[in-house]
Amino acid sequence: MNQDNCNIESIRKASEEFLNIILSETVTIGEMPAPTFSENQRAEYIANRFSEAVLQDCFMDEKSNVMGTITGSEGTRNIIVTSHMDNLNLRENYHINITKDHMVGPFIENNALALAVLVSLPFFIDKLNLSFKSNITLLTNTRSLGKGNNDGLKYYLSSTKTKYNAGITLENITLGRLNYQSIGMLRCEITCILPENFKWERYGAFGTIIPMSEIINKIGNIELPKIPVSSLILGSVNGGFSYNNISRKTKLCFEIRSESFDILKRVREQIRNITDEVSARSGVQVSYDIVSEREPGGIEIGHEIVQKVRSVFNSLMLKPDFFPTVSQLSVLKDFGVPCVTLGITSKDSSIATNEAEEALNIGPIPIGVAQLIASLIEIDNAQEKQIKGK
Amino acid sequence: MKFKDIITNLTKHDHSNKDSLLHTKHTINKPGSRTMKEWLSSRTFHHSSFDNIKELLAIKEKKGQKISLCLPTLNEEKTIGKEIITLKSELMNRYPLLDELAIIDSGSTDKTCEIAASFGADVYVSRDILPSVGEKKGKGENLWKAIYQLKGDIIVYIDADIANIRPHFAYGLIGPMLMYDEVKYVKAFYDRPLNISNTVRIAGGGRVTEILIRPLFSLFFPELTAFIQPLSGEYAARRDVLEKIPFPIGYGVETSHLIDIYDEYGLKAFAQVDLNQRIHRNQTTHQLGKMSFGILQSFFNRIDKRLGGAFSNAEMEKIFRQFTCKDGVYEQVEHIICEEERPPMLEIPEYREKFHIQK
Repeated sequence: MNQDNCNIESIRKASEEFLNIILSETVTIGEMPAPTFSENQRAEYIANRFSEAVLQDCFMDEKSNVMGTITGSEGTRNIIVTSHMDNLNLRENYHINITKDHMVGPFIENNALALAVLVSLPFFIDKLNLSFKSNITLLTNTRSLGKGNNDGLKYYLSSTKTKYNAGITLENITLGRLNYQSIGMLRCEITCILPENFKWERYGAFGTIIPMSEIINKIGNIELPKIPVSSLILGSVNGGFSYNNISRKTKLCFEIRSESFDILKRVREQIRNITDEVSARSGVQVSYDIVSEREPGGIEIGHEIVQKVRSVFNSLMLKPDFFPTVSQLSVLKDFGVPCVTLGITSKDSSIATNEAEEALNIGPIPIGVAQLIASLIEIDNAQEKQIKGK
Repeated sequence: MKFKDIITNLTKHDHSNKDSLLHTKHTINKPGSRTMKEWLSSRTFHHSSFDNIKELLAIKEKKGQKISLCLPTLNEEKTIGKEIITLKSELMNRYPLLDELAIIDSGSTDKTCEIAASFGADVYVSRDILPSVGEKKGKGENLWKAIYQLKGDIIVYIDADIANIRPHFAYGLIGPMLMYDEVKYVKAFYDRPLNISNTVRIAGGGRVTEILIRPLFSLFFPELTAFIQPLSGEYAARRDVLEKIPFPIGYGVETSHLIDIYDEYGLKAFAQVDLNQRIHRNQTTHQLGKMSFGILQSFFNRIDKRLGGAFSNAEMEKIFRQFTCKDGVYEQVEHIICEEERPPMLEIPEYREKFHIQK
């Protein structure tokens, strides 16, 4: 099928036929443990798939990023499609169940479905008999979450000689998202530790939980503006281990988001003052670490890539949801690659039975796949006119 | 003759003796013999030996073989979708190694059939197949009816309750069949972690295998002890073998397959394949007791044939008794377990007609 006579309806219908392949790949990839910094099992599997698909320049780099290229007919321009491999699941044995309407499993929202679609893309393109003028690089990257700080993607983009003209970052959820702007983000850890020489007579036997609760209260009182949009997310707090032992270590993980980098910098300094003050008053050691940082930015809504993808959304009757994202879009933006983030399906919170268990809806997946393939076609065509980043 | 006398007589015989009551059409080798060792080394594979699916596909096409995959089901809604998707996408959509994938259902009351159909499997209800022979309940019944219903020259059977299904469960069994013409029946074996409260423990061989089948084989069919997991529910066989053997409808089907095919062709007709781990539901000891009772019936039916019907006069009980204890009172529970058998499919007129086989 040539791009000119490959209409969106035929792609959508074909995507329905691809559904079994996507679900199967999601199960296979999703059941491989891939905690940040230990993504090798997934990386090897994906490398085999890329190799099987006879992609050009298929390789795995030192950070276990896996890439392969679908060669374009002209090959003068390059598009990158990328998704991260790591997730939060540390368990060795876990299973994804498939019901008629759902895929259910631990941490399935992150990011096996997107990987499955990306890995299967060469097969779909082959079956649809599509050809592109641009080279399309498929990259599954490592070390994205938490302390990974997107190191895998940064490493690839800093080491490759290929100049990318456009990019798509792919996420499992949510179908309909069309992110072109990245929200600024600071991912932080505050740790309160009882020092060896703690002066009990001066500070009392409170341990580390009381000072941490004071820090949390003070952080909660920091005023954040509604515009530019800013928010604070308290993710987790861990401290102590029993009923009657004074806690010697308490750790808080949280994230600050803002459309303004100035606000992020201001809040970062406010929190530093809070931790210094509480440390001085309570006598506990308080460390404050920024484990991950992203600057806000991106492309404009009027950018040709956004417009082209938006036209695909219209054809598929998808209502675009524009919001600044914390996805990997910011990394591509930092390397000068104009980029959007897309989702493949929606989640179903009513199915989940515990915090780790997550459920994805199967129904929307073909539309999600069609959206990606059609967007690639549109971006490929758009690149005949030079695409410029912000 | 009393039942216990028959057993006593049987166990007195030397199996390497051609005059043994258990003699077969081929030479029996003693366990540990060169032939048995050769079989173990040459016909025991790891599934990765067959992971070049493109190569398997080429052999299949060259040999003009059709391959069917059968999943016998009864209330398997939790796992059936995943099994179908995993096997179909890789072995039908990507590589057309399988010509058909079907479930033969025993009358599920959950959504097994609906889910299977929605993911593209052919769905057959056992009672609707060969209605003239009536309906019997049991996994063996489904396997037997699959011979009539499915069209493959090779039929692969895979249990429908496997949580960690992967494509190698099917191609690992098909591989030896395509690569070695003399292999007629391929049996799976694996590590068997049992899924208990989200934890996994390594359980060596199955309990029934280790405390029932292996001792029985050691006594009566020493060469069959070469099978690492003779009761595994995953195997592949050629149609021209399956159609010639009777099928117990219940627990005894796997054991009887091994004995009957061994009788006819010897050990050389078999291969076994390591499929790594298989994670499945755990069964209680009471359930395994019932299973063992059924297997024993099929086993002694086969011994009986070799003795020219000596057991026909012996009273083989069909009632299996177990105990429960409630409020300090012991109560005996009786289960009627009658391991009926279906005749070789070749004896069914509709089958001969469908597959154009002369009587």
